Amino acid sequence: MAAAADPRRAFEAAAGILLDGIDIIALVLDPAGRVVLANRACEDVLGMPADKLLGRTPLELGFGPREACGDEATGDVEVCDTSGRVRLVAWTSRVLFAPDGAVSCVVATGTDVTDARANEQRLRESERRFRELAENVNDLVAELTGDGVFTYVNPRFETVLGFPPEHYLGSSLDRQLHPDDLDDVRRTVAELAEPGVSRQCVMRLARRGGGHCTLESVARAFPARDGTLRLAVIARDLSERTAAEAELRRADRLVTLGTFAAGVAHEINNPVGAILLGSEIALERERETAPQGHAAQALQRIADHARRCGAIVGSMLAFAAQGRSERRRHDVNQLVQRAARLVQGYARERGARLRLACTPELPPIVGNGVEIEQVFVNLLRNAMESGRAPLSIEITTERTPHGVCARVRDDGDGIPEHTRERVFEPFFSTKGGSGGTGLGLAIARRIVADHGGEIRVEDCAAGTCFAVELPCAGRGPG
Amino acid sequence: MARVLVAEDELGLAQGLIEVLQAAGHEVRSTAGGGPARELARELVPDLVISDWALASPPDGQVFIDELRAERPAVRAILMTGYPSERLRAWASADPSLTLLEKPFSLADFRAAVARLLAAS
Repeated sequence: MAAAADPRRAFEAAAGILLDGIDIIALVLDPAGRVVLANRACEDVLGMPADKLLGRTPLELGFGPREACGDEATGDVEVCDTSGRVRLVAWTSRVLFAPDGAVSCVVATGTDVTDARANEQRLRESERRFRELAENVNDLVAELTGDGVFTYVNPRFETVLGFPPEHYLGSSLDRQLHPDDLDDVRRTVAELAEPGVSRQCVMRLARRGGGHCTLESVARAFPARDGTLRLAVIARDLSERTAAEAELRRADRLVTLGTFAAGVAHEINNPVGAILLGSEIALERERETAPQGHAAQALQRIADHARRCGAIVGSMLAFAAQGRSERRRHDVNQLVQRAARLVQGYARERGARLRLACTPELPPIVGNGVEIEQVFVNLLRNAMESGRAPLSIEITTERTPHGVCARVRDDGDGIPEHTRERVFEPFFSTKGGSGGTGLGLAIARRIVADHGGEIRVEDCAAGTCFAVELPCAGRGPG
Repeated sequence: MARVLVAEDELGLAQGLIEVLQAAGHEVRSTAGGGPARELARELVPDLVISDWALASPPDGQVFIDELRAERPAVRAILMTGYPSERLRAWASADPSLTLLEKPFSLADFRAAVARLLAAS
């Protein structure tokens, strides 16, 4: 009641309750800089009861607003509480003046920002890490709004496409697309309407100086902090892979042609050989009796044309042998690894998992690298077509007494015992429409035989195991 | 003259070879397939073997000739093939008592090869 009778004391009591109720440190210093008022938050942050602070200066206490004597000041100050714990306090202090101009008191408020500052630091660190990651990956990384406007692109965009990031920011993906890809990409973007939805697509983006670059991309929708939908896009330059695949197709064609040519050479040269020899024997006899007769002339033409047939087959073989003559030392492990890389795209498509278990430091083999690579490509493709996904394919290499043996094992349907010998025949296929040309294994066998090696189907518990043995350099025909 | 073994599955060609060899006065026996060729070689003890590379049954002509010459190094041989490879060419050129004839070959080439190999004995 006494308090109520004195409005000023009542006001001070209310102010005290208010001050104790907030978690902001509040200090009032007299003109000499001694604490005349401290609230409860002081104790929470500084570990010292408010009444112990009274009459002392912040400097004596080892903390305090450095600019306490200034007119008005703010700043972060590290303070050490009684238990030695360092806290970071954001202070604001203000000097109040009496009507005569003398300092009346200093009011200082402080907020414990230790955790907040640490969080900010963590956030900055995390942002830095993700930015560095996005800016240093080999892929193109972009963020778009839900309707396809660029909000971020990483520097790879400039490396691959030639335009600086500013070229994209705020501009629509549509403007960068090849006109023929517009409909497809718009449809894909429209499908990305909910967080978590992800789509793949191949698109062509404009390149500086003309032309387009083919990118294989994956986009995923996610909610931004403001609640709107964003798209995270990661894209890879396909040009390089496309070139490698084109090279493989070319080699494939040549090897296929080589197998055809070899088959044709054998089938044609044998009867043509009989025709040439037979016609020449007959011609010889005919010449003894009627050297200028019709029969002799006809036999001469037959022999000439038989020779021509031989020459045609010979040039076909020579054409198919383009690039096959080059023979060098090779590490089978490297050839196996290259073949595995070449079929990676196909493996993804087929839902097959490749595992390589290579024995290091194998003796080198001598041969044509592209051809041996083709053997492994064909075996791997064959394995990927050996059954339904998910397929697991293992490639192993090891040393043998005379060279190197590589095995390709799959856990597919396997090859029935009675067709094992026939799998290497041209055009023999158990895969119906799903498989390739029916030449893959025939080609593999021819290449391996040309290198003095052997290819066979081995017994295994489940699936199929192909073994390729190649003699090492200095052994066997090379 | 000489005892000659011909191993060739293509009968039309084999017939021509036999005719030419017999006309030159050689004793000729012929067969098809790698296995029968091996057996005949044991029986005949030939001076000259003329074999196709791709025989209907194993071994192939090259293996057959190598095996035979391992037993009887004096035997000379002509290997015939419709699909010549660098490997076969290298194999034949490494030894003067071997000749590779690439099909189709002419009568003159055949006679020259036979004459050269038999003269060397």
